[in-house]
Amino acid sequence: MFDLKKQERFVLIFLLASLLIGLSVIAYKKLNAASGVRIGHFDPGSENTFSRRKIDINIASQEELESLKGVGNTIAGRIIEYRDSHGMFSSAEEIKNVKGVGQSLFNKIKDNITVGE
Amino acid sequence: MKRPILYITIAFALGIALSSFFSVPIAYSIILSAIFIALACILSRKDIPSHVSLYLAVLFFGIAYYTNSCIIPLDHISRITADNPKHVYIRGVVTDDPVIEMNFYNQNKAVFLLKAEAFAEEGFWKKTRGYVKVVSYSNAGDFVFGDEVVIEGELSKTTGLNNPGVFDYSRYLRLKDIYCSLKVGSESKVKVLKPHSIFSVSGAAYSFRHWIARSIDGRFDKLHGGFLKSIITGDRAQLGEKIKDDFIKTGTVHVIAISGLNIAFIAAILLWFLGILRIPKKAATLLTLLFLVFYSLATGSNPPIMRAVLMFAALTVGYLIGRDSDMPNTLSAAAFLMLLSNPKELFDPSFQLSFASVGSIIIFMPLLTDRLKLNRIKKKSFLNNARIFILGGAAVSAAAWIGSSPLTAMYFNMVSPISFIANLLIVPALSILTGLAFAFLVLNPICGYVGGAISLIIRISEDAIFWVNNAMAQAPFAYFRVKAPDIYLCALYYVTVSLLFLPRKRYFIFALLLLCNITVWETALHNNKNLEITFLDVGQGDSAFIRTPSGANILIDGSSGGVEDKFDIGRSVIAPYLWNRGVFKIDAVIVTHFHEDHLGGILYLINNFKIGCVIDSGTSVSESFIYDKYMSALSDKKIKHFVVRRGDLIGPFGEVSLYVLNPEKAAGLLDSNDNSIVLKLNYRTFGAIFCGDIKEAAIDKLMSYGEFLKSDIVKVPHHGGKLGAAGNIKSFFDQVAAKAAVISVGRRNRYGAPSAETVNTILSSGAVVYETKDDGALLIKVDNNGRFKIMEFGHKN
Repeated sequence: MFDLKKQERFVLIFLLASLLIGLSVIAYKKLNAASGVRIGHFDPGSENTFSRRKIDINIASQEELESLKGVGNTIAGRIIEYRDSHGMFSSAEEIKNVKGVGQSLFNKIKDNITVGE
Repeated sequence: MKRPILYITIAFALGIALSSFFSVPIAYSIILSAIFIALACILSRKDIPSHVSLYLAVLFFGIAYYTNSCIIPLDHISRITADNPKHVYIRGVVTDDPVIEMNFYNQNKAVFLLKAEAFAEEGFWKKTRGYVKVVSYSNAGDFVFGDEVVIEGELSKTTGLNNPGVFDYSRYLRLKDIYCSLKVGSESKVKVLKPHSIFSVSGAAYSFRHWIARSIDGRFDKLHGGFLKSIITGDRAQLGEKIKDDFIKTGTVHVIAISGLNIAFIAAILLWFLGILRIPKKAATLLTLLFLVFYSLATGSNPPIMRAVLMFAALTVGYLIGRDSDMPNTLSAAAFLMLLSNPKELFDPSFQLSFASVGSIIIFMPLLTDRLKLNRIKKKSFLNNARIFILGGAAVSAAAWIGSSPLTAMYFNMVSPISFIANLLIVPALSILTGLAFAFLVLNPICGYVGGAISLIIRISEDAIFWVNNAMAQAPFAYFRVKAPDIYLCALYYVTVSLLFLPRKRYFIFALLLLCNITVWETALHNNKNLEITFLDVGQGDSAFIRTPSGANILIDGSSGGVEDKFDIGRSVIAPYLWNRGVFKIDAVIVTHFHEDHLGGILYLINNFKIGCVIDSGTSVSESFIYDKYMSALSDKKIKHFVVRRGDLIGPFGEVSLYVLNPEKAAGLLDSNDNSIVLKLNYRTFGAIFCGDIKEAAIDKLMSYGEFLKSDIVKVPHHGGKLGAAGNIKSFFDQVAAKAAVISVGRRNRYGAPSAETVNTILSSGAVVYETKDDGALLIKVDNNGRFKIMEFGHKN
């Protein structure tokens, strides 16, 4: 193809190789880029922590509620509806008033939820 | 040298381009031009030196011509503008069709261009000249194109938003020789002195245009009628942004916006029609040309259409005077005339795009038809005709694509491989639509039923076009967003492409590989170890972009937008800014609160970027439709959504920590300025605090953080408006003790922000105050020792 001379073939291979290296550098950088954003907790003066935080059922988004084990799209929607119509939850137990949240589900999620401090 | 005009035009354009980079005194360039002309005369033989000196003469003439066009005459209307708006009376002629639209506050607003003849500041009338952009909130609709009017209003310099690498409206106006604007309040009036004459050619053309608009409005809704008007009269005022976006994405925007392809359709239809009437070819061509001139007047001498008519004229004049016309020569004659009438046109994206695509069609078509062996098809059969149509069409769109893609990458941040297929479908469809539209315009007044029937067909075909175009825009690999290439890369690209014309293709292969290497290594080696915070100039609103040394992209607020047919900061400022920085993914979008001037622009970004997650304070606004749109966009796109309150930490971003200081956990669900998210950013010894729109109540609660509030940079709360009791506000700013304070605020906003009181309080805390309305966008670069420097992007004159 293109009936290239020896040096020309050499240059061609060099250019192709450098292109490949460049592409792999980009790919490597992409893989190493910042992974997903998380929400942690801080106190001025102490270390930052990104340990698993409790979900505040009074303010959490639909998506955050769905991250609780056993809570799906429907129940998360009902929790939001409940707090929109009844106002804030005063205690974690109050979540049992939401249709579809029984004692067993509450036991499953009670360690991971909070109603603020 | 068979194509003198081509080389002369190139030399002229080069001169214009050069003089925008280097300023050369006019006298020098005129003298040089004269010397080279003399040299060309002396050497007047058909050899290279005489030609070269002729072209050099033209080049220096171009420099002089452009430099001269940039000098504003002493009696020019913009000479009387100062920093503050001035109250004046201006007499002049309305030189384009006033565009009447409703603004955000449901006032009727008319925008038009006035050719000023005289002005009065303190009772005396003085002669003047130049154009004024008039924005009138008073009696819109009482005056039309060609009327001589007297207007009372506030005259000021045209201003735009100043952001690095983003289209600036005032710069665009300067290219059109417009340097000042007149705002007419609802209390004053535009008084017509002498109505336009309907017997003049331009008056008749104007009535013709309005007759078209009225006929269309009578039968079509805004969506269909707006599209129809844009393709036949070039009036794009009612063209929906979504429709236009789809055309941009599929690389077919030239059919509605840029190249005036519609003029070619109209010419073709007319020629065909006159052919049916058995009118001799030359007479038909002349008639068509006359009609097109009339037509370009009717469209308000809109530049893309003028350009197309000029190209058509250049092509047909050769035919009419019985000479074989050489395409490159005639095309460059058209370009030369355009540049003579306004040399600044060279820097207009639409000028560049239309000549790049038409030029490369002319250059590449012979090569491609040769390759595809289209010129060897002799036998006429259906199959062969279809082959010519499809392959030929594909070749035209490929040729146009080769020439125009660096420019679309530069101006639209987009490369659209789909455009090969899209053009093949859309261009014939639009030519049929143009034909139907003309049939409609002619038949509708004659017979209402036929008009109704045709309008129905038009509506259906428009819907089909929209649907097909939208489907193509959404196809995988239809288009890519790209960082705008710089001018050297573009030049290299064109050199590479032109190597295709060498007999041996190996150089092309090498150049292509080199080009790929450069682009790849540029991204691969791009390494930014600084923390960068950019406060964008977004008018009245807030938007800040943070790039951490670890490479994460964070956006805090998106200013206004998200309302149909209104200026959208997300679309027009933030998105192009990010694309030009090579940002296609935003790791965290933080919405401090849900007011339109913070949330609006986010909507466009959600739909056009990869979003890692969205963070807000969870306060819901039940009756704000922007908020509803935002929530449904989040669930449609399945975007991670976090709710944060005081005590939360957003991260991890390497050594950058982002702390949430407000609102409190117990804060209600009601949206309010005081429930804005307040963020504290720490990086090594550097600190910045972003205060959203909080006021006194929230500020008081922040004080419990004490020493932790101390920052180098503060984003001043609530656009610098009044914040509350002076003492408390003062102790807050003293506690923060910032070195620089940034106020994100629009020019002449309705709230009178920033308040002098707040600014003075901040100044007394020892901070330097920056305002985006005067200083433009602000880029703060923090090095790895925590030292920072601030760059401004405004142009203070």
